[in-house]
Amino acid sequence: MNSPELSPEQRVEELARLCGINIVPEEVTEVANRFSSLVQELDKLLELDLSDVQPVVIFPEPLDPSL
Amino acid sequence: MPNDDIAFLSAAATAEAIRNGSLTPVDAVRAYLDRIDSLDSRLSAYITVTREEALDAAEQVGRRLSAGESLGPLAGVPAAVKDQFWTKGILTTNGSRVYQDFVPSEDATVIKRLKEAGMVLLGKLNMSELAMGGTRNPPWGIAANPWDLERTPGESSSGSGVALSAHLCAASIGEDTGGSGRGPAAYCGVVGLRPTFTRVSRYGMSHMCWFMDAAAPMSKTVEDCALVLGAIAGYDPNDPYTSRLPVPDYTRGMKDGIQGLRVGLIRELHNSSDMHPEVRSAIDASLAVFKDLGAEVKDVSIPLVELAGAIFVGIADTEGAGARDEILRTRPQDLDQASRTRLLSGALVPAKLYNRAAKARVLLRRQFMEALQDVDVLVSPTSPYPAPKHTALTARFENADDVRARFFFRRAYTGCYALTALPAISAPGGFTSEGLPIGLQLGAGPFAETTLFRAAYAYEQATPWHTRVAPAAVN
Repeated sequence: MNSPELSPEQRVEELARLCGINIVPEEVTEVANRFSSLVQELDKLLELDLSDVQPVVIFPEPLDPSL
Repeated sequence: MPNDDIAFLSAAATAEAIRNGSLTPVDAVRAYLDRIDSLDSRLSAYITVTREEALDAAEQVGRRLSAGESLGPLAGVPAAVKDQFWTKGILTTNGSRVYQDFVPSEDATVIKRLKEAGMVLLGKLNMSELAMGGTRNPPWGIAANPWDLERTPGESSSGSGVALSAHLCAASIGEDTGGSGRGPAAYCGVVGLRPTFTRVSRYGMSHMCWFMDAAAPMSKTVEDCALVLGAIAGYDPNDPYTSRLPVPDYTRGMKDGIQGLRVGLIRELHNSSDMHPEVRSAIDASLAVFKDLGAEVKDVSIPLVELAGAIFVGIADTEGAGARDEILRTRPQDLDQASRTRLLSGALVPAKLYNRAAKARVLLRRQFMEALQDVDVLVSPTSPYPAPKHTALTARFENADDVRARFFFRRAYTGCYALTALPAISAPGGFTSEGLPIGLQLGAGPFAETTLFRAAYAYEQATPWHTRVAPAAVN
């Protein structure tokens, strides 16, 4: 994720290529800004111990067993 | 009764006037249609006005009421809905050129229920593209905030906020994935509710993020909001994930006061150095009001809430990108640039980051439920600042810090309730010195909407904010 040899723009271009998605050149910087910011924010979660937390979907009450 | 007098009534008062014979449903609809004709060219609240259908429906409701039929507490009330809900035979754009020709063959469940309650549909309301926010060139005009036309009315249920604030409808249904209903309510000085997840059917509502999308009653008053929720809530076989819990009378006990209610200020949201000082003062003042009304006020800590904006975007935008994958690959040119770049960044999020966000969501829920052991109602501003200018909202993001400041920070305030599947309401909570509305947000435990309405109603009746009229609402 944090390859020092890639700029944020190069990183999103590479990820987009792997995903098979096209980003037009004039929008690469904006996508990179959005993506980099999200990664930076979510990296703050690394400080949390999430080892005993399961990523379950949250419903406000137990679901009907038929679902 | 003059048109403006009719249109400035609450939905409950409109219905009462219709019941007691001092107003007909047709006259109510005509009053709003006249105002739409004279005001909406500069507000762009509506995408479609269903003039003939509304007059026909009003006539039918009038006939049924004259025949002695009981249609419920909102019979004859003119309402308008966000253009995210299917309406049979009526254009439903989802705010996007992608859907500019989409005419559904059936009504969404909430539309069906509004009609069953005797409410009359005035039309479909403007919104940010695909319920995402930040649309730079909205195809149906830039919805303008009636308190200051150069400012955003909030997103994505922009038209709902504008139409209520300018008295271009008596009640509305917006949609709230992470604050899309409460945000416009706050910026426009009206009421918006995000109900408990699963309380209201989503059948026929276009999705932004399946795990968090919620139909959002929006209104001029708290009582109206309770009545609208009562009309649309409940199990729907077409959306089997809706709750089977009985729908209470949400107005019952609403006027009984809040003596002894435990009210908790979310410390982390209140202490942020980035919060507008007048918003902070308004929230402090609201706590004094709650105390005067007999509530027990204290601070509560929810440490993870500061990151709720990023957790929300990590989940919602990734899900949204997945749901819109085909459009992104085959018709990207039909999307607004802001939607396109946001969906693209969401499409690139690695699995490990998504997984981390999904786990953090569960931890956040635990922290909220722990806080709700000590208090009945949580308090924060709906937004840390008043409505920004349009230009500030739609400008390109210059760097990652710019994204954080403009995108994640604000979303923590409303996104936290979407992440935790809990109900929250935004009610008018004051004004800045520039005359811009400030939203007071109250949250509560699962299915505790009656508690929210009781607290919000008590606050509303003790303060003058809901009685102010937006400058652009006056001819």
